[in-house]
Amino acid sequence: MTSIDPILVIDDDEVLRSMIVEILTDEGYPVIGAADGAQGLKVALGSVLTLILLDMRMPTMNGWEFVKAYREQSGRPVPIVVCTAASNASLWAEEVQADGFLAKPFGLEELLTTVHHFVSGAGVSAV
Amino acid sequence: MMTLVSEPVVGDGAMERDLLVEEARRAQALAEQALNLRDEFVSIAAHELKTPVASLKLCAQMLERRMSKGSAKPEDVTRGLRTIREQSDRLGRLIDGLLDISRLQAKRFMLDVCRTDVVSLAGSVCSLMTPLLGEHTVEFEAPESLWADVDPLRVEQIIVNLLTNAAKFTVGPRPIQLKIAEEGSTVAISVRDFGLGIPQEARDTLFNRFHQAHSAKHHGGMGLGLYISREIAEAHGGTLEAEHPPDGGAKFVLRLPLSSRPDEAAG
Repeated sequence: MTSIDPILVIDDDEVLRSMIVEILTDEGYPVIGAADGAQGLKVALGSVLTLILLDMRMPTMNGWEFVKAYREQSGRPVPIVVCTAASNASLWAEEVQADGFLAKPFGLEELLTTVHHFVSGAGVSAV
Repeated sequence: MMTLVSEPVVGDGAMERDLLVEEARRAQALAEQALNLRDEFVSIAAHELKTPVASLKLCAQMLERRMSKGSAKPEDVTRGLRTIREQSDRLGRLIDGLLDISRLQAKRFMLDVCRTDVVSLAGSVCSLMTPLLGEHTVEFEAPESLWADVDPLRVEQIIVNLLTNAAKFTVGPRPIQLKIAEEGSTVAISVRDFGLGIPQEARDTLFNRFHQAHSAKHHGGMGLGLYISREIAEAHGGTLEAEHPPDGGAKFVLRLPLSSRPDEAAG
């Protein structure tokens, strides 16, 4: 069994965030949820992570602000996948030089395939 | 030799042309601004609509997956169905907002007016809304009854919108005050919060269509609520105004004409 560092899910929509957390937990991934960029940044700087799933439009600290602060302050930034309902999801991902994007409403398979891609890229697999 | 100088005529023509060019520039800038605002609105509306769709999709797929694996517990199914119902309601409300905008623009906005006890109506809204306002409590203050000729569903819509905004822009457990008072020939329904308040630069455009006072920080919503609410108030011959209390927060006052036949109404 390979241990995996947690995946951080940052989304201000509580229902959607819980859903993503539950789906990934069902698959055996350790997951941490955060309600906005500020909360996410606190977690991200204080933990070793495998991947960050990031919503962009959020109160307190949005996705752009999060990426900037995280990359400035983190010694070892992990891949970021932008999850957004914007029509220009790929453009927003490019803007922040994210490693991938999921355009809402994404399905369960898309979510799992994307997460698996980055987790296996990190040299670990879900239990 | 006498020289005929036609400069003043040329000058007038040039001035007129300059004015026309300037006017055209201004019109173009306004049109561009309106287009940008529309694009921004479409982007926000898409975001707002896609988020519940995403929850619906993931919820259904998660249940399906658990059921096919035989790992779905009865409580998972109950919770999943509740999520589906709540997210469908959320989508319905968003679509209602868009339809209201469309009706307002086409001047097809109809009121179904009847004599209504505004105090009783606001009290019911307050009771129904309290569980949905999270950590915020509502302090309700009103006389026994005040009657007005209004469309009760539309007035309810305004109060719901004001209470929802108050909760959305208030961080931490602070009270929201809902007060009703008689002011001459009108009934004043005010919703006061102790939250973020309205930034100075957003005050002039607060009731504009597609406007969000805190747009830089996404708090959800499409920026239609206050615009629709003011249109509804005005369709009743009333007003909806924002006040900015010096000690912080925001206060919105809805004023509606009192019924001219209160005795009959009360009977």
